[in-house]
Amino acid sequence: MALIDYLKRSIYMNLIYEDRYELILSGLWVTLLLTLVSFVLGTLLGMLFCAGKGSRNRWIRGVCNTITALMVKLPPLVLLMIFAYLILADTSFSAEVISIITFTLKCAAHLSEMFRSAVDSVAVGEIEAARTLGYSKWQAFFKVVFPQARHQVMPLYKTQFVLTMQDTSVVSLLAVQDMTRAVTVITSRTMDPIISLVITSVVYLLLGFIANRMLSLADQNRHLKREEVA
Amino acid sequence: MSVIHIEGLAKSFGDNLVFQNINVDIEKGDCISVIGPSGCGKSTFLRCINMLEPPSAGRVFIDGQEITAKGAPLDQIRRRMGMVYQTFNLFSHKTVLENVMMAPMHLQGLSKSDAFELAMTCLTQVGMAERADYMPSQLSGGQKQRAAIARCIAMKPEIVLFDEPTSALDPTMVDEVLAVIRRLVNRGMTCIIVTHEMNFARTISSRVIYMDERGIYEMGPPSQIFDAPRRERTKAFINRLKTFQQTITERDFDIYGLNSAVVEFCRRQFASEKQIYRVQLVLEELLINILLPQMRQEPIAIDLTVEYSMKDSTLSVFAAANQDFSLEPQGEDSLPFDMLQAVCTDIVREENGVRLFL
Repeated sequence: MALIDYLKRSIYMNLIYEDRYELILSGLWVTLLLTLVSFVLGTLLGMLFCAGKGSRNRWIRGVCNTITALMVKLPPLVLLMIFAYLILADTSFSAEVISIITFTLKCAAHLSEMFRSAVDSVAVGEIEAARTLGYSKWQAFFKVVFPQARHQVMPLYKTQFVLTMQDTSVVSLLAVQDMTRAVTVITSRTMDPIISLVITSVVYLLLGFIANRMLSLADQNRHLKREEVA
Repeated sequence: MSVIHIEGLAKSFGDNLVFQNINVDIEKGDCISVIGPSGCGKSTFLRCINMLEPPSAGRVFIDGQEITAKGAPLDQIRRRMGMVYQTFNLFSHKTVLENVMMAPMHLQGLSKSDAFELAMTCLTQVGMAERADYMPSQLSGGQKQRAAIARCIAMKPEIVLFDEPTSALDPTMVDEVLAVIRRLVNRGMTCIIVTHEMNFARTISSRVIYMDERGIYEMGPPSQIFDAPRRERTKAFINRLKTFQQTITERDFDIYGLNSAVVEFCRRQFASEKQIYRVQLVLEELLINILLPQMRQEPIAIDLTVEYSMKDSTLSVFAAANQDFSLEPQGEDSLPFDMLQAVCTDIVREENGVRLFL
């Protein structure tokens, strides 16, 4: 009985009193937004870095490799501070935009490494075979290299989504109200972290599962069967 | 006008000159075999013809169109010129059927159903229609190579370049691939084949190129290159003997181990099954029933050499002992001696040794 009473009270204080559930919901929205935007932009930029690392121009190669090394080796909190207090300190960017820039770059750096190794894993002979059939360089890339590299990189790519989502949890440093920040705020008022922490953890877990599931769907390879065409 | 016209072709990697001054004209329907010792640049020569390796100097014309020219429509010209690789290079993420359909659909704009018809025709030609839905990883080497040939001919090329098409195959799978190539050539496809299969080169080609000393060393019809080579190195290459050697110093040596080593050696030279059977018979009779009983002193030593001649595909066995022996029946048991006489085409006594021709 005491337990049920405690739970009732706890849920009330953590979620309902002063509409605190709204804090968690808007935090969820911010987390989702930061993660999705950083991940999508990071994927595009990662491809660019990946191409840059394979460039014949050694300046382009050098720049891409340096950025990658910095972004990969520095922890997200340190990076966020560098961008917020040094590089972008004098700009009028909002804290959200600065966060997105930071996480996009970090995500792109990790992804570019993964993309590079996936592209390199495709047998050179297959590319040559495509070229001798008459495929152009680009056609050979999109028809032969890309599909194989995509499949190769998928497990790592899924992990990177979760990692980027986790990275975004440090934005409370810039007073951005994400999900982690919401828990901190609620807990500091109620002095009772259990319920809000459980809810937040479950939400992070669910987000990770859903994203992985959706990315798996994108990787399904359907083969043309003889009977279907005939 | 020749289909392929090559003038002054040269290739070097850095300071390392691979070949120079290659001039060849290849007519429609020609089948050219390129042979030569390993590392003489045969494959590089082939790869220069379709610009997989840009040559250092010289020009290559395909149907009068210069492929080596700056800004030449490489992709267009390559569509008329297929290539088959030693390592097959099938697209590993696609089924056999998709491998064959891809290029006609992507490059020639065929509809899915047209590409399907075409692909099945090509696969039937190479005997792979049954396996259309397989992934490359599920195929044997020979099947992979036949699928690769189907993929190549689906583009309806005028020329096919074969880069050691059977070198990566088990001996048992070589024949199925050679048969497919032979069929293509008999239908009038212009082919250049880099190969180590001398018998195949001899029977199939209209001309043979022997490459050595950084260029074309000798070129001519197979009858010239294989039966009457004119130049020194060609002779040495064509007549070279492949040998298997072992010295026997124990009375109870492992005859079965020896036999299987010899069989493996013979298989690698593509000796016939009959020859392989005979060589085993001869070794057993000669060593166990003739030489060892006659060698009474210790220690014993028998130098055994099995030779395979690339020129006329013959096998011979040479045995030399450190003691005297006779090839005449010593006692009542003349069976081993009769057996040798029956199996060998010729038996020649040499000083403390004997040479048996099979």
